[in-house]
Amino acid sequence: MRRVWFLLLVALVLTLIIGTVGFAKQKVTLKVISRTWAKEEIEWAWKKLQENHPELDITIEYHLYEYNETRTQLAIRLSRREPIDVMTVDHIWIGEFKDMIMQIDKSKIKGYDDWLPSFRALMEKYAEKGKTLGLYASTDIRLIFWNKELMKKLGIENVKIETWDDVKKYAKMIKEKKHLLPEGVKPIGFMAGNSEHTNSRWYDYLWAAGGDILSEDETKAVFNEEPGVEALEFYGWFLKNGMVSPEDVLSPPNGAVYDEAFLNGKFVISLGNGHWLGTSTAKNVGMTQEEFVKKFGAALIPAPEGGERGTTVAGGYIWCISKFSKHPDLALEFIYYITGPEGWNVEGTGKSGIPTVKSALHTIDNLPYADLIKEALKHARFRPTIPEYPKIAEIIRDAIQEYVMNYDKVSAKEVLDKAAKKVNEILQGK
Amino acid sequence: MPSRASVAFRKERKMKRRKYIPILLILPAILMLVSLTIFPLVWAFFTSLKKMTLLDLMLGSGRYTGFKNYLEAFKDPLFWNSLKNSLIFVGISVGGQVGFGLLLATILHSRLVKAPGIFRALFLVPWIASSVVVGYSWIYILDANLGFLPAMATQSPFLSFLGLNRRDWLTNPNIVIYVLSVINIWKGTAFSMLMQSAGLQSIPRSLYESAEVDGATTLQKFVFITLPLLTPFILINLIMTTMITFNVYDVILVITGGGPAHASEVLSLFVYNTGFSQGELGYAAALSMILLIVNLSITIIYFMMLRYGEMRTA
Amino acid sequence: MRKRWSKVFLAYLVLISWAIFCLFPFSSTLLIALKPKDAFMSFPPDYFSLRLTLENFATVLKDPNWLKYYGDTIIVASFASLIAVIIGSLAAYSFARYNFKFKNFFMIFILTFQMIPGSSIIIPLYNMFANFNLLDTYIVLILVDSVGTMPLIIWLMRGYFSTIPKELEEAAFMDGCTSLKAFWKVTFPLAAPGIAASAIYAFVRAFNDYIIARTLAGSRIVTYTVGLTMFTNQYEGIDMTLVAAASFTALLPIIVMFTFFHKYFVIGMTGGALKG
Repeated sequence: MRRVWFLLLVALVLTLIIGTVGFAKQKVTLKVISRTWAKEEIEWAWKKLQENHPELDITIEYHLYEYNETRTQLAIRLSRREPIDVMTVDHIWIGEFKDMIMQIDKSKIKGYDDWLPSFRALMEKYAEKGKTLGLYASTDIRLIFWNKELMKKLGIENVKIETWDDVKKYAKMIKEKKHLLPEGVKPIGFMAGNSEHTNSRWYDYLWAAGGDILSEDETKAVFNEEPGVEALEFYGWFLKNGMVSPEDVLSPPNGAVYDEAFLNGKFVISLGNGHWLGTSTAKNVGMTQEEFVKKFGAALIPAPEGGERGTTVAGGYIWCISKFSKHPDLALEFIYYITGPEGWNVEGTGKSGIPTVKSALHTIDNLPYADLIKEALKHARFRPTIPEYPKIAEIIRDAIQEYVMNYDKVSAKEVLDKAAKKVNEILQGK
Repeated sequence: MPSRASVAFRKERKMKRRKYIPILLILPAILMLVSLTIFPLVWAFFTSLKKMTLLDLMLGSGRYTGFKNYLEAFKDPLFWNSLKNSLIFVGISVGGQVGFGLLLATILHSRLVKAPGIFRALFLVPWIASSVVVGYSWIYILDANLGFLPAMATQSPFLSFLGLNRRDWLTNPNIVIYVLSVINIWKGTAFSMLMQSAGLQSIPRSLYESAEVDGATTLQKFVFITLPLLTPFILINLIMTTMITFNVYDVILVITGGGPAHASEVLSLFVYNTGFSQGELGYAAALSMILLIVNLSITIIYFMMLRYGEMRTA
Repeated sequence: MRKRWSKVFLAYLVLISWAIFCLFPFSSTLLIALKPKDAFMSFPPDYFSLRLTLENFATVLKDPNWLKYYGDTIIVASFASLIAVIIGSLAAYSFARYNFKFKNFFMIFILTFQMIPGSSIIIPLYNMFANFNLLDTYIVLILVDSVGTMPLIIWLMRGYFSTIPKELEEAAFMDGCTSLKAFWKVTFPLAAPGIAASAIYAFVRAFNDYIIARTLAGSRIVTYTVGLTMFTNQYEGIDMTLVAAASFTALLPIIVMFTFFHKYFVIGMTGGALKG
């Protein structure tokens, strides 16, 4: 009898062991390196991922950093071959990080064609045929804005801006009535401070004039050709005609300070601001979106005669899988949740910016000037994605700032030629 | 009763142990400093001999180019610009901080005022505040668009009278580095004041009392008692503040980012930008080695001055 | 002792002027921290409207993340300061009291470590600590922060110990103390001002450090300087009201604490240890 009890006990213990091992959920940890504002999105995607995989016990170990630090952290960690699963790469950096990214088979991504063509092209830029580097999360575009309230005070209504001459016309009208404006308000403003925004907002005008930053094959600088000179001289025209002073535009230490100054009424017309002016920036100064639309007018970035209207830099990030990832399939599912249409159509997922997937474009219908945003999206262009871009950007920014400081002593062509020479040295030294 | 011999023996042992005490005392410090800084410094030196970008770091593809980075620095006008800015920035900052620090510490020590503790704590505020708050506070005073002074510039005849009615404090390449130096004096004086205060405390009051009995004036007491005894502390203050100020960049980064067009870029900021935003790690390492040498040279000059001073008094 | 009132007046004038100079620049950011969000809606910015509110401070203090950031910073700064002062004072005492081989070499050697810029060694430091699995821990920040201030503390304390006459310690020996007791009862109180200055310096340096805290930590251990960057959004916009409120809440306890440190500056030679 005792032996039977003993055997039963052994059987029970064995069952328990096999049970806990066999039925225990497999533990998986995904390592995510991303930006500080991505927390909500990550948490939501985590929830979805866990729901979809009840057989797994999923932990997301996320490390969030601000802009430059994300790039440095990714570089150091990847140099140590750290098994990062998911990472957020600014689209400017993809040339630098392309060898560290695990390329994904396009066929594995359901609804891949939902992504807008220009963004898909960027995602696939450094990938082999049939593959992509990652999924674009969201983007942003730029428009020209003006302060309707201030212009009304001057008796200027029904403002329509389509060409560069239109802007000059209104600038002149405002300058003539300057005495009606509060002290220190300037007719025109543009960003020329020490930030990438100086570059991107000028590129809009460079492209509008038909120019480009680098040649098609990204081996030589072309921003100093005719359209570039025209675009820089456009800025110069307002400086030379006293519609804005150098310190007004040189001083903002970053784009947000410039945007806020514009919202506070410092400039009547701002040559370029992000679409987020009416949402994120307005919120920071306590303005509602309705108030914003009432107070400020907007239009596509204007073009000179014969140029392309509505050109804009498109920003944004790509969510990628590192080539050292141990869980590529889960990682892919994770980034699909973050970047895909579902995240846009559901509340509380922490998404912001403009969707790059067609089926989610309607979610921005309530944003200020949504129709203009959608139109500009069609003209969205990207900055160079080569690793040398940060150096090139600094050289171009220095050129713009130098011109603004010395517009009465140097010519736009001089300044741009000097910059192009430096850029070419870098590109040839590769 | 221990025998004479054993007492002598124990004393000898104690004296032998005593010999090692000085080394033992400095050992923990040396160990910590060496283990945490020597290896990184060696890495930085070898990196300065390579062409290495962030991309190279990831791919492991940095290659040795000898002293090419250093040659490039000497040919780079931006390097000389940043060196010039550093010398101006450090010179003015250190002079102001040590000078005002000495003044404030002396007054606080002199028992002329009640509650010196509160004053001391208030003076510490700029030094303790984070660089973000410091940066933005000054932006709200000096910025052409958001700043208080420029906004008042056109309306206030008082400011015009003082010549303070400009709007380009932070954007005029000729004055921006001086403006930043003043801000740095504002921020860092408290530290010098602390060091001098500690030094002043080490001077026995009895010296002052006997001097007063002999009829010394305040000035005489200061020149003949305070200054000589405080000199070692002033010198340490000068040396340390110089060293630290050469490495300061965070407040400049927030207020002007080094701009416009590098007009306010000091060498330490140039190193930081080259490494972290341009990703040129090799070049940045060479620049930081140069910064180290500049720092070291100035310290050696101070020491030579100290030696010279000591020889004179000997 | 007669005090000349003109001197007193001058003294107060200088001190109050400097105090105003110190605090005035913060007035705008303090106002921003005290105003509801729609503060600067006009141009030129209107500093004088009277709507003040404490809601920004409430938001900061109610945020559990913020308390954790602040706690982390206090822990790191306190221990870094403690270690730097203790180890530094030991070394300083040795330099002040003894002469040994290579003493001058060691002193200059230590000094050079103060000159090393943090940004240039951050990558190898990351690799070092990653190899020991110590990233994102209190230990790494405490160690690196204490090493960053040790050279200065050693030099300051050496200068301080040098001014304390050896006779005092020897007098204590005569009275039968061991060397440790002599140090504790005689030298230490007299060196209190120097120790206070060193401790404050090390604490503030660690408290305000940004680059080390964000590179070698930043996820599990977040100091308040790194925490402040969490208040930015995707478009570089800083929520200035919250950042300002957070910065001032961080400052206040420190200021209060330092007011109490003041008494250590008074101990000095007036402690009465000098006989005759």
